[in-house]
Formats: sequence, structure tokens, C-alpha cells
Amino acid sequence: MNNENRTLTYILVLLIIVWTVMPIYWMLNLSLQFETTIFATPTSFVPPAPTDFWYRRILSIPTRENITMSGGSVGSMTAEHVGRGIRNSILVAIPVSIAAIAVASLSGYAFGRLKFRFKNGYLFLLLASQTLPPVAVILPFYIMFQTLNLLGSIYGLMIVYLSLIIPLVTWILIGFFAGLPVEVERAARIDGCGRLAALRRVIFPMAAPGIMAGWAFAFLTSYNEFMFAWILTVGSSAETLPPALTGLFFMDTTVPEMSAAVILSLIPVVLFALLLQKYVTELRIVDPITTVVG
Amino acid sequence: MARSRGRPSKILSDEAFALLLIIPLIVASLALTIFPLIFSLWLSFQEQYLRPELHFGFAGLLQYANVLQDPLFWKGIIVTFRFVVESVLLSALIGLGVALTLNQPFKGRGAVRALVLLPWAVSEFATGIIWSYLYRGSAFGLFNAILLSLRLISNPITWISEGFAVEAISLAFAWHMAPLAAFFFLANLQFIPKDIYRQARIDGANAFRRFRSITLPYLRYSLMIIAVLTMVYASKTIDIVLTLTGGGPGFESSTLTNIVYVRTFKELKFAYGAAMSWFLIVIVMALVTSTFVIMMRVGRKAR
Repeated sequence: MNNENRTLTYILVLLIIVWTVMPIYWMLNLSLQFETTIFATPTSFVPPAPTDFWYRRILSIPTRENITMSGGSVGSMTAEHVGRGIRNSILVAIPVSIAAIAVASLSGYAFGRLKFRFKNGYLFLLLASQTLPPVAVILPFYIMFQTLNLLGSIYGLMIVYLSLIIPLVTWILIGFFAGLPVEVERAARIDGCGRLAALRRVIFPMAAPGIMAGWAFAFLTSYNEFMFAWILTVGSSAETLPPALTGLFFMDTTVPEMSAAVILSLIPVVLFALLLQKYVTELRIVDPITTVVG
Repeated sequence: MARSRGRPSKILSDEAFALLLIIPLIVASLALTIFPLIFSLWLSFQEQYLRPELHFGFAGLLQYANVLQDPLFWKGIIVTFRFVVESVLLSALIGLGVALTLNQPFKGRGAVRALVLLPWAVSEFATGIIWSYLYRGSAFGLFNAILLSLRLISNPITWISEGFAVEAISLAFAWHMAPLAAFFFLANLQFIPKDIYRQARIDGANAFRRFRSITLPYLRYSLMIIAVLTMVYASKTIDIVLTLTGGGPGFESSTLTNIVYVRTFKELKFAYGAAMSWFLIVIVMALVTSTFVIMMRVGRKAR
């Protein structure tokens, strides 16, 4: 590559980084200021006097400023709900993503590697279940959960998420399993491995990167889901992050407090993404339909 | 077929083993969707009475006929169409640009590849909140802050205004979706044999020609996947619209999902909302089914 091309590449890379990071950086910038500096014209691109006041307020960690500014009481109710929401969302996302990836690995393997009747039909069903707009089914869900006494329950939300996420992750894993070399599995079977033993000892270790990436998808989907979380948990002690954050937003909170809440809510996502980025960026996704459908 | 090759362990056929493995999946995907679908179908054929208490009576296709006469329904369809088309175009174009750039060798490529995925991990409703602060019409909106400090404007501009509200959402949505597109494009780019490029260069093809005749045809598959994913996500989303514009100004940026939401939960017209959501379901299903068929055709041809 010549020098001119290299310079162009670096300029483009820089642009991409700015496009990716700038919106999040702006929230961070706002979250570390008080309104006095935010409403100055023009707003500064770096906090003139950084403060962690808004973060402490959300996490209800007392400070001297807290006591003087809000008359002795620590934090505001809606802001504290964000902290609780993050906890609840993680409590839901961990078991859901683990259970989902366990089930989805098995069915992903079945679709990717085995031949069986009505496979196209099942595949279509799988795809169709992914397309249901939440807003179209939320009312029956509400009634159903009210009858079963699962409204405002963390377990109710977990059940919903399993039914949403298992098909999604299966869909992602099908192509991955289909792309694994057949020979190793065949050799293991000929050497006397049973089906389950071959799965456990040969297939799953080979599929580990795909399974980790699928886990990341599952975790993020559960952590970020909005509509069901909103309708099924809002206002209860099981309230997860999306309703809490949206509640704060629509309550017309202060700009820096909202920014701090958003930044806090991103921390688990970023940590999780960092943990699994190696697998996700290396994942080869093969097209499920063209490789599997016969 | 497997049997004729003399594979061991015939206790379970492929068929039976496969069904055993997918039973939990089938249960998971049907258990919670069948009832809501049947219920909302039933509801959509009812008339809703409020006195003496909320109850329903059969009304045939009345609600469906009402929906077709609802100007907001048609408004919602047009907005959804605009939003879907813009989102697909923006996400695919930005994603392609990112993928082509990150496919070049440069220092720190691994880290940048990981970084660009970040907006995809940010939820749709958080994307809406973040971008609402970028577009904000006061001095602290990012776009205003940039222009004000460059002294290009002297007073803050209202960015989300009549006429461009849908575009504002599409751009934010593309910020969230383009990383996924870039991810598919990048995975796909690795499969293109390098020799073809070398040969094309020897034959005197310029960069544009190489892109059009080699890269683009190879990317056809990922292009389609991205189009489908963006289409489905954009047509069923509601969170980003709620947090970014609230569907406004007025109903300017209300997608069909927003209209269903308003009619059902704000105005409490349950039967009417159910009928309207069936239009939504059918539209999304039609999109997906046609794509499924096209992809199967392409897949068969590819072999």
C-alpha cells in the first residue's frame, strides 16, 4: 500500500472512532458537570470542574454536597431506581443468558448438523417468532401475567426473556455449527463415542467461540429489552433498568443526572462486551439458510 | 443416508436425536406466543363497551374497517416505510464504509474493531436518550455546541423540527445498527480470495472497478442479511422513537408501532388496538416471508 492510501486509511479510522465514541463521550462530559456550566454558551467539551455528585446521588452514596443541596435527604427516588434497575437487570440477564445458551447450543447443533423432517418448517417458525412486534402482543401478555400473578416479578420477566432469546440465539448458532468441520465428529463417532459424548468432548469445545458470542448476544438482549420490562415490571420492586431509566427521562430530571444514569447503565454492557469481544470479533457467521436449507 | 455409511450407535436415528434436541426450543418459542396471538385475534373481532363495566361483544370486521379509515394509521404506515428505508440505507452504507476501512491493515486494528461494536451494545432506548441530547435545541446539544464554539452559528438551532424528525431517528438508529452491519461485512470480506484482486490489478482495473466487480458481488449475501435484520428491527421498534422524539412533533415521527401503542395504552381502545396490531404483524411477516423465500432461492443457486 502506498503512503497516500495509508494516510487516507488513518483519516477514515479517526472519523469512525469519532462517530462511534462522540455520542457516549458527550454524555460522560455532561454527567461530570453541574447545570451552571452545562447551560453556559457554548457548553465546554471537557468538564471545567469535574464532579461525581450525580453518580453518588444515583447510587445513594452520601456526600457533603448532597446534604447541602437536597436538604439532608440523599438522592431522589427516581434516581435511586436506576441503581436498583441495574442490579435487577443483571440479576435477570445472568441466569437467562446461561439457560438460553444451553438450550440454544443443543438446538443450534441439531439445525446445523443433523437432517430431519420438516426442518425448513421449523426454521421458518423460528424466524417468524423473531418478527412479532412486542407492542402487538403486550396487552395479552399483561393479562396473562396478571392472571398468573407474575406481574412485577423478576421470575415472570425471566420466563418471557427465555422465550424471546432462545430462538434468537439458536438462529445465530445454526450457521456457526454448520460451518464446523464434519470430519472430527465423524472420527470421534467411529472411535466409539456416543452421540452425547461426541457433543460434549468434540463439538462443544470446537464451538466454544460461537457459544461465547451467543452468550454475549443473549446477555445484551436481556439487559437491553425495553417493552416487556416496561409493561411487566414498572413501578414494582422488580423494576429493571429500562423502565427505571425511561422513568427518570420522562420525569424531566436534570440533564447531568440523566447523563450520569445513562453512563452508569452502560458500564455492565461495556464490561461484558470487553470480556467477550475476542470471540465476537473473531466469529465467522455463516448464512444459516443457504448452508442449511436443502 | 448416515446409516448406509455404517456409522456407529444406531439406538437413536439422526431424526429422533434432532427432535429431542429441538423440543426445548419449540416449547420456548411457542409456549408464550400462541396464547397472546389467539387472544389478540379474538379481541380484534370485538366491540368494546365501557358501561356498566368494560366488556366485549362480537363485532365482526368492524374494527378492521375502522382502522382503514384512521388517518393516523396511514400516517404511521408512511412514517414506518420512510424510517425502514432510511435505516436500511444508512446502516448498510455506514457499515460498509466501516468494514472496508477496518479491512485495511493499520496499527491497532484489533482494538478499533472491538470499539466500533460498542454502539450496537447500547440499547435502542438508551440510543434514543443519548441522541436526544445530541440534537437538543439548547446550547448543550452536541451539534449546537460544536457549531457555537466554531462560531458558525450565534444561536442554538432546533434540530428535530417538522419535516426532519424521521430522519433524525433514522440517523440515531443507524448509529446503533451500523456496527452489526460492519460486523457481517467484515466477516464476509475475509472470504474473498486475495488473488482475484491481484489479477484484476494486473488486468488494469482501478479501485472503483475492483470494488464493483469483485467486492460487491461477494458481499451480496451479507447485504441481504443486513437488510432483513434492519428491516425487522426497524419495523418493530418503538423504544428509540419514544425516547428520541416521543413520536412528535405532533405525530410527525410516529411509526405504526407508536400509533398502536397510543391507541391501545393511551386511549385504552383495546379491541381497536388489537385490530391495528394485526395489520402490523401481517406487514412484518410479509417482509420476512418474502425475504426467506428469496434467500432460499439464492442459496439454491449458489450451490
